[in-house]
Amino acid sequence: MANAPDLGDTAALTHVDAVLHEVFSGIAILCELAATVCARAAGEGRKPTTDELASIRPTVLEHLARESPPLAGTGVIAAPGVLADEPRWLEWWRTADGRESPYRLSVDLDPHNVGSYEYPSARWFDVPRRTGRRVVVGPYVDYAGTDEYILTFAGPITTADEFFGVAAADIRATDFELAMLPLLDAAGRQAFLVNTQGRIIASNTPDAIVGSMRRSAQSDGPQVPRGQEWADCDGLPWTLVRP
Amino acid sequence: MSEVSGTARHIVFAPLADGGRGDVVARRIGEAIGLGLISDGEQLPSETDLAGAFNVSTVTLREALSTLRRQGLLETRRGRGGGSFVRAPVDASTARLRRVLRDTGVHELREIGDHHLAVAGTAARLAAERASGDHLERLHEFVDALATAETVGDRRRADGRFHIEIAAAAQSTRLTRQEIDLQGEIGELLWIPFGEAVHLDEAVEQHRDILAAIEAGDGDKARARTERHVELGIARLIEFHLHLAKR
Repeated sequence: MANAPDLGDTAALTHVDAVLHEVFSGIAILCELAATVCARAAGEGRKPTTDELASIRPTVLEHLARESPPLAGTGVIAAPGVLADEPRWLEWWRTADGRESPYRLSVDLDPHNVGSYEYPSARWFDVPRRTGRRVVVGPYVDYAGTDEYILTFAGPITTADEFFGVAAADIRATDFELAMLPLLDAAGRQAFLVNTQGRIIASNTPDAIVGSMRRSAQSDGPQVPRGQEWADCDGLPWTLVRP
Repeated sequence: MSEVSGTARHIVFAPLADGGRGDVVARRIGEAIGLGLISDGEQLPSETDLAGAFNVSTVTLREALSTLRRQGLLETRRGRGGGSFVRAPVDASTARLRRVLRDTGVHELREIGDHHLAVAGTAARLAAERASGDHLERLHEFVDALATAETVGDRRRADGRFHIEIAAAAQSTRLTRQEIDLQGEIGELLWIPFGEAVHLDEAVEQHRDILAAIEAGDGDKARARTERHVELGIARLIEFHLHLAKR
């Protein structure tokens, strides 16, 4: 913890900061668009519709076209009951191998089914709803949703002090690790990043692979990212570990 | 008013090996009603005959009948022509599940069980290494949800989610997908109303034991307990299938 950052660490800090900035600036734009849709409907004394929320699509698709790092999916997830025509709703688009263009995620939203997508209790939805904070979750198995191993970054959408839902972005664990490899290599021959739960989220060594829990004997390196601007983000900072 | 048929009588009203407590007798008769081996309106044999068939005392038998009355599965009529009559309000989905279980052969049930052993056992072992606090928290919630569930649908969901969450805690999308498919295939059959292949209190206890092993980071124990849990469920389904096929 007390290690003074050497050159590699400084590069790592900058790199992680840049990736998080990129992802969360996209989320902030979606939050703003969704809040505008919401405010317009509220001005007419009604709830917005799924059609109106679909107006964010061009921006969603624009974000999916970016490559650093590539997003597995992004969009807006409405809180139960905030839309006029559907009890639960995801305006969520994703990319996939073998498909040329992004497509809308379709999931089972009927809470009575064992395979339904219980997003209101997902951490990336629940933390922003309860605390108003942004959140980073993962990597985790997004079962009944995208069925992928991903990290999710999310922020709350609020209008007139009411919680409307979250805007979020997913990065596949594999793509995230690839994006982190240069910084890990700069940090040392063997290095990995762990999240706040002690789970390895990116590693340059087969001795500590993504998804496993770190062993307690390993000493901590610097925490990334740093700075006040991430203080409101649940699930950060990550810790750089050199075993 | 018909009496219980010969085959059902043979299957259901057989001596109990385990000393015969009231709840065991109640369970045996309740399952037969749940599985449709005894139909709505059928009259049970006299208390003396039943006690003799199960090889239990009449006191134990009366205890069992009173449990079944409380569950709404029996109605007792007094006077001439009186006795205990089965009340089996069957909806279309229960009838469908009984058909599915009757038509699914022993070999097929065993195959499903083998597959589930491989998936759920491995998932439990890996979850013991890889689960983080939020997984454990959710697993506890699902065990509690199972313990307090009031409908069969809620029990099936809580049971299924518990196993799916273990696969997710193992950090494996492949095992999770397979667990979801397996739950879709077998979840309903395990929780046929009153014909539940794993009894609620036993299922809750087994889930708690599996979770304790995962929480302790003991992968081998988590696997062994999960395998036992899966095997018990499948063995009961095979037994139920044979009952239904004989009828």
